[in-house]
Amino acid sequence: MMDELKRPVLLVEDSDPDAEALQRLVRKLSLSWPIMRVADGESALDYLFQRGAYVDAPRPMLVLLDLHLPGVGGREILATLKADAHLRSLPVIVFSNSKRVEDVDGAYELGANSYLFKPSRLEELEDVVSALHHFWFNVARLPGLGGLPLG
Amino acid sequence: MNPPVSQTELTECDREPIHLLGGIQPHGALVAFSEPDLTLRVVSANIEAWLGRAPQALLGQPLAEFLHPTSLALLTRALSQHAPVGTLRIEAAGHAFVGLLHRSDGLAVLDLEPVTGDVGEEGALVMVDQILSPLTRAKGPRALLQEVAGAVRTLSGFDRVMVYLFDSDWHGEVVAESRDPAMDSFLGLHFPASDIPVQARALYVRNTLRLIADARARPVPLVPAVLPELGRPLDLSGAALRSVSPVHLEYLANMGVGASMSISLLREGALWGLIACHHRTPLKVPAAARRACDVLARLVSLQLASEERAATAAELARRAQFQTQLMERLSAGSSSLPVSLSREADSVLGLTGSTGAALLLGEAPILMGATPTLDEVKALGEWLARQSFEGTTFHTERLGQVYEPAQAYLDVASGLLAVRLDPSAPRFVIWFRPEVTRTVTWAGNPSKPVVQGPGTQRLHPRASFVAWQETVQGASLPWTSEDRTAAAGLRGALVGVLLRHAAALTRSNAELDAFGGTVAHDLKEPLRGIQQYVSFLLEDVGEAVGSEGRKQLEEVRWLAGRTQGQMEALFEYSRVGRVELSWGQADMQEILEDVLTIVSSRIHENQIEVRVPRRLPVLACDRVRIHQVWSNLLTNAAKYHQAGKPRWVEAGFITPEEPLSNPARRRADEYVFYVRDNGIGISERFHETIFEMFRRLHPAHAYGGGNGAGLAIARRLIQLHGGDLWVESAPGQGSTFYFTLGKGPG
Repeated sequence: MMDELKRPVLLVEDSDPDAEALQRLVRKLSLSWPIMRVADGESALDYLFQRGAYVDAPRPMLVLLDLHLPGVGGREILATLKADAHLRSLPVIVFSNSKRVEDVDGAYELGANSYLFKPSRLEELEDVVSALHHFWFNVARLPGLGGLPLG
Repeated sequence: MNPPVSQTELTECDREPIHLLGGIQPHGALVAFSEPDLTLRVVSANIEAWLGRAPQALLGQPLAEFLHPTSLALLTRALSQHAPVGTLRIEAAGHAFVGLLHRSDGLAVLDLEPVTGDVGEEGALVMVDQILSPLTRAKGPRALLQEVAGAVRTLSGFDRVMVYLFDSDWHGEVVAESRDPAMDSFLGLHFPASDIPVQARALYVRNTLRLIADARARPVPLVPAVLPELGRPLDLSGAALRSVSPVHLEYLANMGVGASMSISLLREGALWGLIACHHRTPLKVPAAARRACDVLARLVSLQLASEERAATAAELARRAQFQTQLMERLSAGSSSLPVSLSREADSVLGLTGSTGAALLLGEAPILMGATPTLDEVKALGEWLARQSFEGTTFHTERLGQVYEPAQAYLDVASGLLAVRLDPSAPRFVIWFRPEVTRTVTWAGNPSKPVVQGPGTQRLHPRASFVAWQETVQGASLPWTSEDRTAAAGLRGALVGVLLRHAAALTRSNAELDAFGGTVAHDLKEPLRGIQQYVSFLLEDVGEAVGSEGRKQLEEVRWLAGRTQGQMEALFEYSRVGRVELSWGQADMQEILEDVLTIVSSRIHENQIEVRVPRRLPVLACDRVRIHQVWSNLLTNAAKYHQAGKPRWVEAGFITPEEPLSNPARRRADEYVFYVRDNGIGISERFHETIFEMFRRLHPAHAYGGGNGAGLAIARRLIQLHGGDLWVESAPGQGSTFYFTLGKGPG
């Protein structure tokens, strides 16, 4: 169980300030997530399929996925994960700054477990991260953890 | 040519039974006999002068009583043929006649005219030459008809020979003339269709040649005057000697005409012209000469028909050439279609033989040649959009009769031919033709005064021209099937070009979307970064930089956020123009309630009372887009408030039946929705500018800092629906934004 709790949240995010903002909030809110960040789609897939530099990478608890990525895009990652028998159950939370209907609906159609809008202002971002934490780590049950909430 | 007069007289003319006048002209005799006993049943009253026996002595007698046996044999043979027509040489009572045989009312009818000198072999050859030479000499239809006029005059000896053509179903024109210099010229004169009554036309088709040898002669009655079996006179439709209607005789007498002859020009069995001959004194044209004239008329008709077919083919080829040339240039040109088209005005006009044209391609009309004004053409386009087209074309020779405003510009546009380019949008190519009287050259003698007197006004060519002018007032030359074919052809080609343009546009729209999306994203990201790093700085070192430093950092963050917002708005605005509306029945009340829920935080925050006086209707619109419009208007209304006043916003509608101050209602038949507030109001000079993109009236920080895109987007969405969005407001008086939804889809 303790090992499982150390499993990281995989953050797929090309924007440094966005990644830093999230990490600052995790620290600020004293959240117990180890964050593993990759900055492009290629690396994200390598990590998830344990290839190349990530052969020994632990399976994440959940994935925070930006849609607009250089190279392999968020949609493609989502589609690849949901088509894979082993990775399909891994919760993927899209974390995007797009409110476009096409993006939101498209992500759900591809199997996203949730779609969150990423606000620019730190104060608003803090609310979103708190809510995210509360739901996924206190309320929801994650796969492979025996039905216990993590909190 | 019977003259036109009053409507009453015309009607009388049409009804006059000119084939049942029961008399013949005195320069010959007529006998009618039954078959097969060949017994005389009807004779003309002048028969004694020719055969030496009184009518009563002849009636009931066999033909053999007075016919030379050779002539009787000729006649019997002619009667046995299927269609006994033609000229027979008849000898009777020691005189030689030219006999013309036909059947009528169950009797064989024989016209007898005295032979006036033998033509002889030499004379016959001269006649053949006179018949054939016009056909070989003349170049072109008009020249040919001129030659024909000359030849007929030579053959017949008339003082004046005119060739009169029916230019269309409603008027005719004298196109060729040969005359003694002492005679008036009628060349170029136009005559209304009513000049030749319907039943006269029918006779012109049946008897292609008609001679009135003496216009002053009294007709000779028939004996008996009435056929006992039928109770009416013998039908003389087929008789060359048939007497003349008194009306026509009066006409001839008033014109000073002593003898006349007309020869029909027929094409495919229909009358299309006449050779009309006049002589000052009586003139007995020998049967041989008449026959020669008739043959000449037939040959000319054939020749003209073949020339006309060739001309039509050449005309079609010429128009095809215009079109090919036009398409080549349009495809090659780098300019926009309207600009390219306007450079090819000659081809566009030449295509349909028009004097003016207008292109309505969605933007301002492009005019070429002689046309109504820009505003008149715009209004005409709106009218055309409501007309039903035969396929894709619409045409009229009398625009003023179907579209009243056109009466102001009949001089350039009595005739209109239009093709519709797009079934869903009012896009047309329109061609114009002027009033026909303006295209006709006066060729008679317009200054010659009208002779007054009983029945004379209608006999005068000048009066006839005036009558014709009245007939064709407000009409253009007719659009031929070639014109319409050419117009439809141009449409086909243009639609092809337009489709190619549209395909290119769609492609570039998609590219633009991708480009806009990329730009928006790539520019937004750094701006987000700026905002976030500023936030980090404020958190980490905010205390250390002091209040002035914090203010500056806040301002940097605000500016970055604002720029990002502008970018999003611009991107959205660029997409609005190209969205496809998704029409459906929508409950406006539900939409409004939904919007109010979403903007409720703002409304509560500003302590605004929301009023919805009555339930809103259900009607057709794109629910999502109209949601956006209400949302924009309500957010706006919540924003600009006057300090210290209790605030309210009202959302409602006005039905088509309810009164509404001008100019609020733009269309008479639609609902007008509104959002009214008691806010700061807007000065009238800004009533339009507030709808411009990024146009703000207040400092960026004031009133919650709108980005100036909301109203622009809302108006575009409403315009997409075909409706209108406008404002009524005055400073300190609050504002009312109105909108309508247009006609609905399609």
